[in-house]
Amino acid sequence: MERALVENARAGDRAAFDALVRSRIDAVYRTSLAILGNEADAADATQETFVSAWRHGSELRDPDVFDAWLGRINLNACRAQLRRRGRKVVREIRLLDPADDSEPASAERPLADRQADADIFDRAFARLSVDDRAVLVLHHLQERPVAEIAAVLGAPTGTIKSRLHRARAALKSALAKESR
Amino acid sequence: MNEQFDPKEPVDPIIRAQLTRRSAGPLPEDLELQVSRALGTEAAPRARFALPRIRLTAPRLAGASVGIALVAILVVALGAPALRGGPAASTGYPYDRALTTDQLVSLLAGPAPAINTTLVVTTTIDLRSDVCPMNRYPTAGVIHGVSPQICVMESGLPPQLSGASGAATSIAGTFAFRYLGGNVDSYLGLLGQITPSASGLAYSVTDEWPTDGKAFVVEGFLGAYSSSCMLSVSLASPGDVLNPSGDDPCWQNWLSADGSPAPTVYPASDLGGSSSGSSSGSGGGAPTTGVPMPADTSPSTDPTVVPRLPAPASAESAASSFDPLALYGKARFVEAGGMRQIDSVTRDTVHGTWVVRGVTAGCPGAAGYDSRGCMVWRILARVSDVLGATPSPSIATPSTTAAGYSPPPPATPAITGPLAPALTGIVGPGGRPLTAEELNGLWAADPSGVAGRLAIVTLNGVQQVVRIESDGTPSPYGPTLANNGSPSPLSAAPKDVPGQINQLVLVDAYLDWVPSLECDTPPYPSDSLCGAGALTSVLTSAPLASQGIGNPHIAPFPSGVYGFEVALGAYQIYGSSDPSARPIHDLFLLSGGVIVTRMVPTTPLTGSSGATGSAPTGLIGPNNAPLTTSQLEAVILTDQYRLNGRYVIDMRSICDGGADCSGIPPKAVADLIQPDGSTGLVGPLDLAPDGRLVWKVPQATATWDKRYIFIVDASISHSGEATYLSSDASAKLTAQAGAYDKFAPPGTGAGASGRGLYVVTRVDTGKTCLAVPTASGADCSPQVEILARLEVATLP
Repeated sequence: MERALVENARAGDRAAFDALVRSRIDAVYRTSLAILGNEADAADATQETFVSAWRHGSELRDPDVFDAWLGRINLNACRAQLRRRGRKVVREIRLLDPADDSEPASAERPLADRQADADIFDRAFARLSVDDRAVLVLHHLQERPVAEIAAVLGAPTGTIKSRLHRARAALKSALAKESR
Repeated sequence: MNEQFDPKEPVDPIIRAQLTRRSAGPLPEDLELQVSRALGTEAAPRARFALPRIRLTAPRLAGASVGIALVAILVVALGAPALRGGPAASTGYPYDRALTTDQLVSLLAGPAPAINTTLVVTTTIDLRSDVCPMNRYPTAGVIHGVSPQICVMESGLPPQLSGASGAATSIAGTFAFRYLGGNVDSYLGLLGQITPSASGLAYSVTDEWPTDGKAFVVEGFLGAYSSSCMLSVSLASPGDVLNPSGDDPCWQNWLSADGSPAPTVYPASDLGGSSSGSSSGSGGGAPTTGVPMPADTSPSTDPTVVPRLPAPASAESAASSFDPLALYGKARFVEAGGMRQIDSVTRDTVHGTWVVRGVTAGCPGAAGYDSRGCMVWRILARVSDVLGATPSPSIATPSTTAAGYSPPPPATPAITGPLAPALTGIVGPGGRPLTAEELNGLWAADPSGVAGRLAIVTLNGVQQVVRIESDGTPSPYGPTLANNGSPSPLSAAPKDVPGQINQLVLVDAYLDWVPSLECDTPPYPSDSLCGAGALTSVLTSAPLASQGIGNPHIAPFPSGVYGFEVALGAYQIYGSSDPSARPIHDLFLLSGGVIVTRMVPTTPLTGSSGATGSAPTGLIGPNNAPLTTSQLEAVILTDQYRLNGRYVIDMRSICDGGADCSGIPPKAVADLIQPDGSTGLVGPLDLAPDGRLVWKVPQATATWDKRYIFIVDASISHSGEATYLSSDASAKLTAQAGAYDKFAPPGTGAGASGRGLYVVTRVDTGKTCLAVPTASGADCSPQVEILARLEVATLP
């Protein structure tokens, strides 16, 4: 069923592509948001991802790797957004909701402290390259298999493992700098 | 957890929690709709997927011709007389004739035309390359038989002069030029040799246009619509003035014969029979694809909705034969992005005479790396109405005629002199719109100083942009004026200002430049700026401390600073010919991210006290306390207009957009009063270690890394352009250059210091120096931007 949708979309069936958009838009947006940290940029990247996928659908040879292919397009769209953002830096202040329970270890911590942690993390994350951000998001947030991360990033699995380690180290270093 | 996980790199719960937080929140409710719209405006997906890409081949051209012919037959059958309406009846220059050589000479002998003025002239060019050296362009030759000589320069791409090769020494014909400047001699840049139409000079939009790559002139209405692109800032380079680019991100341009709305070519699946499948993706929203071809041609008030028109003759033809060269109804798609920037053409539908050429560009839907080309129509320039604008339209006999042309004088120098600045617009005191009485008073006092300028004026209770005609009559200019004509800080609407659709907006901003790999628009760059270090003009919300900042190849804008590139040459055109005069802080009228003009208040901006420099003061509550919500509301109600654009320190709960803020304790924040009296969040204020709102400078510097926006009780001082804030002799903050003149309290004399409360924001991520650091680095100070000097609000 899924394969048929991809094949039809690849052949120019807009209805099939719309179905793929509906089923993937949330994941694509969240990945973009995690990488970019900015809702407007994430929305732009999401739109660009699907437009590009529609535009270059004929270049997808194997329908079975549609998600990895879409993920790579998404990553490129995020990369393009960051390049554009270099010309229009807008600091978006996002505050924690007190009811947010996404940080289990900090339930007793004051909201202000958690906000500070979030701010430091975001600034540290912003120091990382797109590839480092992507590999961290794909691994630590989406828990994707290494093989799938390798397909999205277009690199061998061994390289992905070393990238994971390097990205983690880079984040640790950035956190240390931002916490000073 | 997936079994393929690498056990050596387990998921970190803290990273996961933070990434989960970053990616949390609802999906924007209109995102799916926006994606659907964007997909709906993608031209002819079937052509991309099922048909070979359009190539510039003889069969394709033949096919296009057949298509045009079929459309023409249909059009004739439906009523051909309606096609050649008013515009076709236009006579005079440049509709049915070009300027003569004598007229050109006379024109250039008078007051210098504006740089980049486009002229169409029937003349003879002597082909020479040993005269008129210029930095940027090779010499094509000189206009035959005139003195002082009129130099003709060419861009070099593509070849423009037919018959110019071989042994030819001159070429006669009709040519389109841009005036590049001059002193004794004049310099014209060759846009192309013009192919005249059968009925005169200018083609109608509905005529069959030349497809041989030669330039031609078209009379028609240029319009544009947003192509549902969500990118708010993506201004492309205009390219060379003699060979402008066509790029116009997020916009689709078209030329029509009668100003009718945009033509649209539908994706195949949008046309007939497929609506059920493709319209189901909007989650209950209105379907944007798959609908039958609508008959409604009325323009939508929703700027994101692309007007959809019955352009192609049939669904099948639309699906399979989209051709960027074809005539759709009474309109043709054109590329016009570069020309719009160079000639300051707004996104309104405007009538004009345009220099057009068929150029090879990317095929519809082709990947960027696809080298195969398709032909598209590109507007190179808007022909200037030099005869209509010339005070004395009568053309005098030139002092030198074609007779007796002698060998040219020695080589002329390159154009390096200062540039004439663009004509500034006029606004009222403090940036507010002028009243009709004030405009009349300005006209009475100095008609020649006002004529031709844009002005923001309140007429019949409506704020609008007008152009002051030569008789003093204000004519409506351009599209809607945002914010009731009141200036907005550029930072106040970072996602909206440059991308305003069909709207003019007045912003308070800094015009600056950053080093660039590209040379600026000729003839603007001086030798010192072009080549070794060219410049790119930028508009920013705050002054940039370093010339490298803002260039994405060197360093992005600092956090909190919003900026974007503007047209090449904008710094020189609207700012200064002196690169060291950066930044230029003033009011600028923007349209779609393009500077329309720089606006000058008739009197300097004044603060609330009426005695400060140009920056209005901000407000804080009594006893250095934030204003409560009720206090702020009362203050705004007292004088909403005067508070527009001012910073206020108040207490309120802040949370992500759309979220329920109840339960979140209020905190001190810096807000910016909007034109409608609402408040826009600048950011939460950092509290001092003792929990107070106001810092001393040493406190600020000691915990520098965690500070973003804070209030400091300090004295302001300066040394030249450098401005400092200090609470005692132990430390000082370095503020933006020139801040002293803007923020020093009234009565502060030269060299004296003035104590006050200043709202500042950190503009970099560490300790830096204004100039080259000393060896020890001991003299380096953190940099801040002073946002406002605070005064205690007078509570009603």
